[in-house]
Amino acid sequence: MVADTHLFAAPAVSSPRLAPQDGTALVEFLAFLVGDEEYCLPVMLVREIRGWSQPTPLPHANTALVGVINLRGTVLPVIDLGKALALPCADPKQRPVVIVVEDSARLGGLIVDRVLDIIALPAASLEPPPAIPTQGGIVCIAALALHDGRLLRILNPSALLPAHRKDPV
Amino acid sequence: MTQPHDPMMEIRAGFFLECDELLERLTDSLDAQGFGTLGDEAIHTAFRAVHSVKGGAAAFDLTDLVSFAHGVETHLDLVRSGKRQITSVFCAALLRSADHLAVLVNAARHGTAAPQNGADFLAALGTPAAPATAFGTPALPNTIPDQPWRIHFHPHAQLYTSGNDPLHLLNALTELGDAEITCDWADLPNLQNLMPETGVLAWTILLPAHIPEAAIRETFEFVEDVCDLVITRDCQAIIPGTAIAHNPAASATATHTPSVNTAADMPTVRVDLDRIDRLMNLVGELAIGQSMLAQTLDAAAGQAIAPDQRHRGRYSPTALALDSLGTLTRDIQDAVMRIRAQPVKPLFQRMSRILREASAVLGKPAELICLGETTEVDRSVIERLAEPLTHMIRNAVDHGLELAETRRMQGKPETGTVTLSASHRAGRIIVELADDGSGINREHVRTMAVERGLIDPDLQLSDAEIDALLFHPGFSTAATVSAISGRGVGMDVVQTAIRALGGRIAIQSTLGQGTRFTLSLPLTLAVLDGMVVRAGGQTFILPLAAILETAAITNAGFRELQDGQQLIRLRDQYTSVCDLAATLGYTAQNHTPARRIAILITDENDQRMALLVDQVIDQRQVVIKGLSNNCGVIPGIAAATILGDGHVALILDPGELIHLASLKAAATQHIRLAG
Repeated sequence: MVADTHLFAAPAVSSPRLAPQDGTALVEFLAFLVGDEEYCLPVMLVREIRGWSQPTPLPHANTALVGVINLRGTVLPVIDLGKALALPCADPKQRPVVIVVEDSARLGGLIVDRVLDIIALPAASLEPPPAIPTQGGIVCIAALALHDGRLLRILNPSALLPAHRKDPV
Repeated sequence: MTQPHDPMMEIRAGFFLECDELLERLTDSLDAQGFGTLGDEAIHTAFRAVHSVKGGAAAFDLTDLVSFAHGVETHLDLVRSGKRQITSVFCAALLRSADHLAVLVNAARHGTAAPQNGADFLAALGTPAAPATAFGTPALPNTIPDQPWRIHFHPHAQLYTSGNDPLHLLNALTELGDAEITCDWADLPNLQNLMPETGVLAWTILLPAHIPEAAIRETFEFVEDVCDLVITRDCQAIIPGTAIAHNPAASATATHTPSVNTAADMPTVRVDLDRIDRLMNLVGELAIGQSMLAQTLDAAAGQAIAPDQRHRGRYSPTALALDSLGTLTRDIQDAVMRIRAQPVKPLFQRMSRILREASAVLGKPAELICLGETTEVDRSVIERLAEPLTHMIRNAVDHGLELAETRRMQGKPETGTVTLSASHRAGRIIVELADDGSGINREHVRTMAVERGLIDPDLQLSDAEIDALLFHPGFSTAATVSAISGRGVGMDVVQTAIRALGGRIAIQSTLGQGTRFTLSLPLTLAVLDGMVVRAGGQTFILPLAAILETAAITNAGFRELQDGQQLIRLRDQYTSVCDLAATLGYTAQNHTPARRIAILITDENDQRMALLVDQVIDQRQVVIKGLSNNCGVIPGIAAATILGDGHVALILDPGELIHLASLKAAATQHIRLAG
């Protein structure tokens, strides 16, 4: 069964290789660690990967939104992915990596522990997440896939970036 | 970016841009010397403007536009040739026709249906302009279509040196139709005197009548300025060669007639706004990079140089070079800002149209006097000023000016005067709108406010306070709701719009003599003058426009009310106090410095509040970066900026902060009452 979220439809338009209707087409994902857990993001949505810099905290923000940083003149919100996913992990300052993602013209940075690899998967191997109610009611997982016996969880950035997250976690 | 460009669409867009300029020139020339005294030059300018609009419109098959422009042009032509007396009625009709022309241009631009009442405007101009058959035909009236084309073409030496070959051009012409080409070698000297590089040959080409003039002109498009070129219908006998060739002045004027008149304006370039914005961003980055470099060098110097030698570091070649780099960066920033700046003239012209409409609908004769039209301001400010000004002009005519009879009885001229002026003052633009109408009837305003329950009947109000009632939402003094204004969405909308621009509005009024509104606006929305403050361990920018006073205070200066609300006496007035860090939800770091800074801020409703901060660092111009796209709306924060050290600092929204603090106070009170 093919997961048909907008997540894969968006980049597929620009790259025929990712056409979702063709089950054998390969989709590339960036795999990284949050705490000890492995998660993925579609490579097409990743703008860049950069080191840690001290963010300016925003008032009245939820705990996952650690603040804003200066990305060459753009004010970029930075989200602690560990907190956003309610995972136990270390203080963000000790974690060096910020993945800058772009989702429908919005930019945001996601703090992760370590970037692992780029994994190419056939579109057909993506499965929609099971319909289990998550805590907070936000569906952060866009799809699941099996790769080398590992279960990959593919994140949905639009559920993580600030404008869509009005309720505190 | 990668969208395929349709060259035709670009040309079309260019035409409409040009139309804006032409229409501006037209209104200008009609306005130039007031009603009824059109100077000769003004008529010519107006005529040329209408003519150029017509010419361009014909090229794009915009028949509505062409026929109306043609009608107006015919009238102007009669005036130009002295066959028509200029009366004030005629001038007014001309102005309205010019407005209609603008409407048609806009309709054509957006592809919307054009209003079909053009004939009414032409009828208002008086005698029938031209035979009805002339309407709707793009053909120029002074050409006879069935006569063949006669083209006189005399290349200059530059045509040859620039790599063009007359042979190619002549070949291209033969492709258009059966061309009859004769070469004129009358100027050809003897072989011994011949300079092969000079252009001595000329050609006369006869082309069939059905070929469009545009096609012929297109052929010569790239050599137009390096040759003598005369394209005429063969109705009058032109003696081939000599007559024209020996009269370059005549041929030069003939060449230029159909093209847009080139006024002695400064040359200009049209640039996409996106590109300028990008340049602005980059220059902002440059400034940040420069100041980061300066800070790093400063820190490095601090470590490397012994304290007693430190003053020398300031004069080291590196420091001096960095200084001049800093000056240069600021100059570039200024220059880029200036690119975005535009004179307010087009805006004022729009307003004069609004005034004419309002005055016609309400039957109150009025004229608009514009002052300081060349005052420049950022285009984003101009764009967002149009709507509030429209409201204000309509209000001025509707509520400000009296009816003509009333004015006469009061010994005022029947025609009301509305003055719109712009000027620069202290880094801001001041726009003033004054009318010589009845002024604010404060008794009436007061009664109305009481009637609507806006104020308590017993309340004593100063004149200024009564005037401020005009900005109250839902307040409208018009006795009857007219089509123009008085729908109860008057001045409060204006005030909201001006506030959103970071501006202020003030009223001055004398009963029987008129009302004056003064708008004070920032020159640009891209930068902001702010005070850099620290609170709760963070750096914030507070817009300078909202700050009344800063004072160092000690905790002893506070007075506490029963509900826990703290007050402080500043400027002979008790003002509520609010801790910035606490209001924004930053957990206080458990240290309350004995001496803190109270900043007295005010919002547009003149509500005051003392904001407590830990430290005032600096006062500087900051580049405004939007937050809402990436971060959503954050209460109390207007935008962000990037500081010299590359860190992001938040720009506070004073009005919102005052609002937040009052909410918080109300909540505390509620809890106390409940507890």
